[in-house]
Formats: sequence, structure tokens, C-alpha cells
Amino acid sequence: MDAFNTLIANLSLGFATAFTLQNLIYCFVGCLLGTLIGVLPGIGPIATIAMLLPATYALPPVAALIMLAGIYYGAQYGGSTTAILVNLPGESSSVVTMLDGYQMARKGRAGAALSVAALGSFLAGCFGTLILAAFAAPLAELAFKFGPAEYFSLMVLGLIGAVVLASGSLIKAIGMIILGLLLGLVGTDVNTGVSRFAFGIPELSDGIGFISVAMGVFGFAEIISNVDMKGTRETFTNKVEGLILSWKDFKEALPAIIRGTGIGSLLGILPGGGALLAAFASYTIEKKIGKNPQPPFGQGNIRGVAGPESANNAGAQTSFIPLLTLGIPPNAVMALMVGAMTIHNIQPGPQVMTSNPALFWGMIASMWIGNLMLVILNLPLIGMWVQLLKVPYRILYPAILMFCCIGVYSVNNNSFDVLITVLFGVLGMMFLRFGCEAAPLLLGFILGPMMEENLRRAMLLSRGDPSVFLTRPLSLTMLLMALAMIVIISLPAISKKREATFVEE
Amino acid sequence: MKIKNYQDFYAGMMFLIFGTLAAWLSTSYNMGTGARMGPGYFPFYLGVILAVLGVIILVMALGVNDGKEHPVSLKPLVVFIAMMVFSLLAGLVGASPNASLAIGTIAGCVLSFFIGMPAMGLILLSVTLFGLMLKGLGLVICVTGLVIISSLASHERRRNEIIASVVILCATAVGVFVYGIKLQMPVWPDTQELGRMFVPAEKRK
Repeated sequence: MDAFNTLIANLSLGFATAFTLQNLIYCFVGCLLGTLIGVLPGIGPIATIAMLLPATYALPPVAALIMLAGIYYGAQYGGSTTAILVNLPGESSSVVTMLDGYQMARKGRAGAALSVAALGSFLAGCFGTLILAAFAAPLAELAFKFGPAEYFSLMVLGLIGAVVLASGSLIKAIGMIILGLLLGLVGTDVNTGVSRFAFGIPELSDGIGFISVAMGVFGFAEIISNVDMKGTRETFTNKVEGLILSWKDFKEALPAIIRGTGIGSLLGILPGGGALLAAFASYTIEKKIGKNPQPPFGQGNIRGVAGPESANNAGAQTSFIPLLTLGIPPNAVMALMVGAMTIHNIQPGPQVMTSNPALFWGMIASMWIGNLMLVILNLPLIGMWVQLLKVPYRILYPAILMFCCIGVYSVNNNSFDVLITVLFGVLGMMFLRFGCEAAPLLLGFILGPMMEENLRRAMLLSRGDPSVFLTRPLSLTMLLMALAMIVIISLPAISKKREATFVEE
Repeated sequence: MKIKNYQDFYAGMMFLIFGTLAAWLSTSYNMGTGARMGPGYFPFYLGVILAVLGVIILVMALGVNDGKEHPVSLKPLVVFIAMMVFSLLAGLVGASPNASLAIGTIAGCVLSFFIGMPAMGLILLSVTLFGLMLKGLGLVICVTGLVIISSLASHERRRNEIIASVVILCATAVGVFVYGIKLQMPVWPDTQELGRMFVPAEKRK
């Protein structure tokens, strides 16, 4: 009962922080902007956050983080709208929504698909927020027991988890992580003051800006390959009607929403988990449950939208847990959040909760408010998003480009960052052509300096004995888990199945 | 030995090159010992691991064909190398880091046209010019240039649409960024800044 009372006390502090007029407005603006950019085809949450991050620099830390969280949910919800109406995923996690969502839209049930997506996201978001609030404190307690060796092993586990659970070639993804770690080391070494890989360029002594990396590899490369692609896309242009769900639809969707929420919350906490995996897992389960679904999956079954949409939102919510309690970003979106927090001089980790409780609980409360706003915002505004989707890409991309450019430039007010971003744009194109996924690179990029720091400290404490990672039980457990993941995924039977899951669906 | 999967083959080569480069550059920093790591220690081993991974991927790409198509293109790699080489050359003849990088990226963008990636060339060129000229020419002219040049990359461009985009986006940029969130950017050309851009620092006094 005591824990429950603390939880209530914490949450009320959070709501008191989030419910100021100013923060509500930022939350609203974040959701609106996030949806606005996220709804654009081919732009996922990573690119959206990178693009809008500069807009939050001038805000106080609490407001900035609240707005960023809003942008994240908005972007994710916008991505589902695009998936349902245009059959073009804005991000990988809406690929699943597309399967049945677009079919529903073609059968004239776009309204029902959008509503169930909104409802599922909202319910999942509420639950995810509660989980986050409940688990944050105990996990942060645990985090205080972590030494540098544990942190290092945890990061190894997180990085391995991120590639094992992602699609595509495992070994290439590990390569991308290491490349990211190396890029993260560019600049002045904090321990010795030596400038590394900077070639005597003063602008590089602070390292490569993570906005440049994210914007170049995700933003520019995406835009270029979209423009290069010929052919037209089929846009759903009819008026969206029937937003109110029928009782029958609701009855069918609710169990799927509950299952999706459960799976999503669980998978979101795992290192490397998050929205994408949650959506895939939920879709697979929905397909297995119940015989002879009407209509069949892939042809517009409402459960195929409700489950994955709830799962990806719950996963998005709970993936904040490792970030806020351990200070370790579990996926590329959270890696961007670390960057954003650092800009506001907040070192993510267990100490945030004790040193800055208003910020911590305010952010959690604002997540719930953000979810509520998305429902209020998106269903009535759906007509506006449809209009936006009708704007041809040739008109949209120069506008997107402009926001990117101003965003990158305004970070340091210099042209050097813009030029570096151009370089990363070319690199991003190269990765695309070589079939290398870029998300692990970004995760490695953020974790690089943290990993080196913890490795250094752990080795210093053990006087250079590397067995410290194996003799400390927590550290050993995490390394064994990482090893187990690699072994399991490399088994021929599983790797074939894994490939099939990502290809067929 | 025949290459079966070109995507993996080149990806492996890329990792091998980056890894070797990183390890080699790290040797110029103090390595230190395991207990007291120098700045070279961590990047050196990362570089070695990356290079080894690269070799593994390379070798695996030579293996059995999985019967799938793996469309690959070396063009972005060529452009990237060109950008690096031109930047280095410019740096060697004494250009400032910023100017060297600018020369490198512009050269790479121009090269993109000649090797059949005009869209990439135009889009990245528009961004480069925007970044370089913003301080001197101001937001309005730079946004105009950015929109016009990047729009040319599309196959289905239309003149009237571009003109409308320019007007709307200029107004949005100035309204939102300069008056809205008050970013420090010039709206109109600034002759002093322009002069500073083209006259080397030592001659200014």
C-alpha cells in the first residue's frame, strides 16, 4: 500500500507540473507538429524528431521534453494515418498497420480503421504510462547498484538486442553499430583532452553533431531516394467517413487491443525492443488466434489494425523505461532523446528522478496527456491530414528540406554543420544501396562515448583485469543474455523463420 | 571466386576500409594499458573488430547464391570518396576547414550529375549552398535558392508550383523562425558578411 501511495503522490506531482497552461500548450504543439510531419510519407519518427528538435532548444527543459514526447507520439500516429490512407509506411512499425489498414480503407472503412488505431493507441498509451510510472522507481533503485562494469555489459546487451530484434542482416547491423560507436568518438576525449579523428578541424573538437547524423542519414537520404523513385502512388482520396466505431467492430477490436497492449508493454522494456518488434509480434499473434477470421487477415481485418497499433504505442511508451531509469537508450528514437536531454544539461539516468522529480514525473504525466490529445486532435482533424496527403511529393519535399536546413543550421549557427549533414546524406544513400540499416548506427553513435567511459572506469577499478565483466553476477548475466540472443538467432531454423517473418509480412 | 551478393560484398569492403582507417588513425594516439586506457585504446580495438567483421561479410558474400536479387550501386560511394578527396586537397593547399569541406561537397554534387545521380546532386547542392550563403545572403534569398534548385530534382516539376512554393515557404520561414521562435538569422543580404566571406581573414585589417 505504501508503494501505491508513493505512486499516487508522484503522479500528482507529475500532473501538477504537466497541467500548467504553458506545458499543455507545448504538449499540444508537439503533438500537432509531430503528426504534421509524421503524416508525410516516408518520414518516420527519427527524422521527425531530428527535424523538430531545434525548435525546442529555446524552451525550459521540462517544456522541451514534454514537447519532444508529444512530437514522438504525433509522428508515430501520423505514420499510421499515412499507412492506412496511402499504403506508404512513414516508419517501419506502421508496415504492419498497412497490411490490413489500407485494405479497410479501400473497402470504404478508412474511418473505422483510423478510429480503431486512435482508440487502440490511446488505451495502450494509458496502460504504458501506468507501467512506466510503476516500474520507474524500483528499476532506478536497481540502477544505483550498477557499477561501470554492469553499465558496459548492459550497453552491449542493448546494442545486441537492437540488432537481433531488427530486420535485415545481423552481421551488417553489428558492423553499423561499431561504425556508429567510432563516429561517436570523434572529438575531444574527455579523459585526456586529446582530440581524436578531428584532423585539426576546430569545429570537430566537440564531436559530430547528432542532429547532422540523424538528419543526413534519415532525412536527406530518404528524400533523395523518394525523389529518385519514379511512378505514382495510389492515394486514398475519398472523403473519410464513419469515424464512429460500430458495436460489432468494437467488440472484435477490444480483445486485440488488450493483447497488443500487453505484448507491446513487455517488448518495449526489452533492450532493443520498441515499437517495430511489438507491432510485428502482435500481428503474428492476432493471425494465430481465432479460426476463420472474417474478413481474412491481409484483406482488411480490424484486429490486424487494432493489435499492432496498440502494441506499437505501448512499446513506444515503455521504451522510455530503460532511458529514464538506467540512462541507456533502447532504440534509435530514445537515442535522440538522450541527445535532446544532454542539450538541456540533463544527464539521463536514475539520478533524474531524485534530483529533478518535477521533470521526471511531469514528463510521465505529459505522456498520458499527449495520448489524450492525439485522440482529440486527430479524429476531428483527419480531414486536414487527408488534404495534406493529397499534396504531391514534388511540392512537399522542398518544404521538408527547408525545415531540415534551418534546423541543422540553427544548432550552432554555422555552415559547417550543414556541410557535415550533406556528407552524411551521401553516406546514408550509400548505406541504402549496400543494404545496411542506419538505425543501429545512430544508436551506436550516441552510446559510443558512454561505452568507452564505462569500459575505462571498470578496467581502472579492476586494475586492468578484464575478467571483472564475468565475475560480477549482474554483468555476467547480461553478457550471457546477449550471447544467447546471438546464438539463438544464428541457429539455422530460427534465422530462416526470422527472415520469413520480416519478408512475408 | 565469383561474387554472389554484391550488396554484402561492398558493405563488407566498406566496413573493412572504415575499420582499418580507424585502427590506423588510432595508433597515432596514446594507447595506454588496460587499466589506464589512453585515447587510442577503445577506437583501435573497435577499428580492428570492424575490419574483421568486414572481412567476414566479404567472404560470406562470395558463398552460395541465395537466388535473390541484391541491387547495388557504387555511385554514392564514388561521390563520398570524391567529397573526401576534394576536401583534403583543398585543405592541403591552405583552405580553412569550412571552405575545404564546402569545396569537397560542391565537387561531389557536381560529380553526381555526371555519374547519373542528378537528384542527389541537386538536392545536396541546394542544401550546401543554403548553409554556405545564409549568413551573407539572408533567409529570403537562401530559401528561394533552396526551393528552386531542389525542385529541379523532381521529374514532374512545374514552374508555377515552384513559384508558389517559393513565396509560401519564404513567408513561413521568416514568420516562424525569425519572428516566431526568434532564431538569430539575417532575413536580407548583409554586405559586410558577404565581404567577409570572400576576403581572407588576414587581409581584412
